[in-house]
Amino acid sequence: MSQVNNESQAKTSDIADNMTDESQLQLVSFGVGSEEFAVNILQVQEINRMMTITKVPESPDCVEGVINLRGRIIPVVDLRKRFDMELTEHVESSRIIVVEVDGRVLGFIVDCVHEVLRIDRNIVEATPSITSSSVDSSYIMGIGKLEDRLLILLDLSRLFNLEELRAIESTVKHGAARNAA
Amino acid sequence: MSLDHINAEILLDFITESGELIDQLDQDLVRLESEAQNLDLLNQIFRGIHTIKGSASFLSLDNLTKLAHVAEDALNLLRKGQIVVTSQTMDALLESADVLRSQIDELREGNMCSPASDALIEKLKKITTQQPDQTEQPEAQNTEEQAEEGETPLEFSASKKDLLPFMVEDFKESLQQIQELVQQSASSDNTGNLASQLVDLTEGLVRSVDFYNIDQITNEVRCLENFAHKLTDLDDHCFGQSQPRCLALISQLFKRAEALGRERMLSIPTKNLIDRLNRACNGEELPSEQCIPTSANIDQVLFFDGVANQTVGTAKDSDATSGASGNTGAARAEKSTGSNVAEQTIRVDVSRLEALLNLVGELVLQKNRVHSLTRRVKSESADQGLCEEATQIASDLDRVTTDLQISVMKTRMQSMSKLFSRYPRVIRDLAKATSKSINLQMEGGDTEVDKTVLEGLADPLVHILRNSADHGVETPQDRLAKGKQADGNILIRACHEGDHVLIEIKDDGKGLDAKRIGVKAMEKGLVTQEELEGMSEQAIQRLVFAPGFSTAEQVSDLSGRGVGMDVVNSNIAKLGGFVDVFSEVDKGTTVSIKIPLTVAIMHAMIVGVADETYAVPLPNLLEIVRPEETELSTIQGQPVMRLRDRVLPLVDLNQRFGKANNGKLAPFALVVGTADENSVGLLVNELIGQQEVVIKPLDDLFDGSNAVSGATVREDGGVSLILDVAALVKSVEINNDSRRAA
Repeated sequence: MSQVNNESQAKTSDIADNMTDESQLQLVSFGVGSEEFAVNILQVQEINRMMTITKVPESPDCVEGVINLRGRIIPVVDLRKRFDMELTEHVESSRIIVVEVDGRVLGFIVDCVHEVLRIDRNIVEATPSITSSSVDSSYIMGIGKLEDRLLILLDLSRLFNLEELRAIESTVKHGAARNAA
Repeated sequence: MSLDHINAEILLDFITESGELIDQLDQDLVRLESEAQNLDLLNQIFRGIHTIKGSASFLSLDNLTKLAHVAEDALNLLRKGQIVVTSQTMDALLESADVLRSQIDELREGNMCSPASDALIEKLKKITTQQPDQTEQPEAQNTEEQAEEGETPLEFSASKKDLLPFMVEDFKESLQQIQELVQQSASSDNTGNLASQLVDLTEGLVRSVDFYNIDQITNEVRCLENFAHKLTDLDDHCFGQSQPRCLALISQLFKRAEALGRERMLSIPTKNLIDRLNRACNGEELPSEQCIPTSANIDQVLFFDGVANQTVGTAKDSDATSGASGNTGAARAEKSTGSNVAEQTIRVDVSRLEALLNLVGELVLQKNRVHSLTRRVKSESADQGLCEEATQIASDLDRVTTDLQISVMKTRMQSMSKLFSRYPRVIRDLAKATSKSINLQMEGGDTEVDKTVLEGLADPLVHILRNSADHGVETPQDRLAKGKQADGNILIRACHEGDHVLIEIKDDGKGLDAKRIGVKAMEKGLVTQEELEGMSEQAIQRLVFAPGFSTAEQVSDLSGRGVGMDVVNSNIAKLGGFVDVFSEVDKGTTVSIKIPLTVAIMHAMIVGVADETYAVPLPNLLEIVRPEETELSTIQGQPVMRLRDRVLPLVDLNQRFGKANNGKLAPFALVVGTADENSVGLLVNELIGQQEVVIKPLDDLFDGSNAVSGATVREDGGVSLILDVAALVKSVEINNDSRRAA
């Protein structure tokens, strides 16, 4: 869990302690491409460095493969692929964030993890009027308007919805079949 | 009415025990139908229901007791040969077993059991009253079988008869108090007070018994009175000889009270007991051979004084009876001594076994890691001693782990007879409902399989059996017309075959008609005309496993809802097994199931494909070959190889899994297949070796994958995928079909 910006965390948590929990959101923020995202910390189980990922044949395209999480086999999704961003090699700062969504445990790859922060619910714009250039707005829960930057709050249940991940698979499969033929 | 008054633990014991007894009853009753003369069997059934009745009345489960009681009466008459086994009797008895079971189920759910229907009670009573009670059998035989055997009816005047229930109730109550006092007398300091209470109670008892003029009981009660009077004067020896005898006598009196309630007199040979007890109370020194050993329990005293003939069977019997009369302490004690011989098992919560199995699974992984570390030490270290030690440790660990694994597996093993025992009843009911006559034979009931596998087999097997009985076996008329015996035969057989269990269900019925199946399958759109023409007869027969297929013209409530064999197939596949069918028209059908012994760990061949490793389940692996350049060719784009006299379709896993294979085919071909004859060759780059792998499920995200069925953790902590051979074989077929179509 390195890469956490201690300074800004300290600042935000100072403010947070004076507030009640209901008005606060505790988030983990991370970067994919040029954008900054955040998810609710309660959904995050752990953050791991990159490890060997075993590819699973004929799986949805955005699924990178499976990893061994202390004896448990969990799928890993590459967020760059999920967001249809330009693919890059995984770098030193790449991390696998392990989350629990709707009873399923899965990991997703991000370019880097920034910090754990608390923000006031008031500064989150629920229905985003602006959408990120590359991210479909349906899995955006809201935009956190920080003083110096914007945070995209992700709705993990929608992001990793089984049907949707499979739907992506079918188009991929089609392509693969055409290639084979 | 609630169950609150019952000790939860005792109730639970009762539920488990009775549940098992009823399962056994069910089985025995069906057997009885064909072996009406088997007295041992009858006695066994009788004992079973008697035990249930006894325990139920102890727990004051009146509804249950009432039913068990009338059923017991009927069985008793059967046993004495006063009535004969008829289909009517059996129906009534089987029905009572069913009702008893549902009553016990109600208890399990925490409800008071509901009464059996009056119709059933009437039915049972009618059986017993068909023939009037005949004279009892000679005394000599009675003493041998004890208790209920030696009953004589008692005649009372009307006024006495009316009072009888009160008297019996009173009698039992007094006995209970006397029993407690006598028990206390062994340890109490204040014998004077205790003795006077005893005198009061026993005198009252004598008076009430006198009223009924039953000499035997009067004598016995007087004997207790005598003990009460003399209690304060007894020396240690006499007390030691008389007190246990009193308790023994009381236990017998409880039985008498029970019988008295039914206006029966038990012939219990208490003469010696009374005689010796009286003499001991009178301060006489008993001859040494008549002295009971110190700390003898009631059973031993009864045996010693010739009251009971101690055999395992009667000990169990008296267990129930004394339990019935409210004698908890004694019943418990007897149970524990009796079970020393009979029971060598304990009940363990299944979840604990699951946890144990998971731990062993993890241990196997760690063992594999130690092995790989040892190999590294061997290759990298120059120190000979270190290498040897590491190898030694690895092999010791290997042995212990394997033994442990086998032991844990064994704890989860259950014999097939657990399933088989239900089937005679299923077949009997079905045969009756369809007016067929069917002999069910079962072999290999002692074959053991994992609990999960056993549970997974339960429904499919019943379904196949029902199919055989309902659709397979013809009516007696049809059979005779075909020149067969009127009785149909169904054989169910289980046996081990390596790591697998093979189960066959074979009937000699009308068999599967490939033509009809073909037509039906086309109607349902499962196959096309062309496809059908290209199929072998057996392949057509296998269509019965296709989803949505059922040939029964009429949907009966027995089978034939069109989901049957499809569900059978998928359930068996879920357990990693195969199901196959072989049939000849008018000769019969055989359905065979091959299923792994366990589901958590399996043997696999580890192979390398590009930079990944995969596990191929060993049961699917038929052989490994290294194809020569000249043996390879393609047919309509499908790579194939010549393997001896046949053409084997090939799947290059490099290509299939989207790896670069620099234009060359991988060197090894694993010939894999499933139960049906189709096999394919999987081309892989590297053979790594055979290994035990722990099967881990994959996220349902990967359900769409047609190549892998699970994953396993490698020695180095990485993940290897387990290939789904059945799906791979199928995908080649589909590929070929679509190519042909195009």
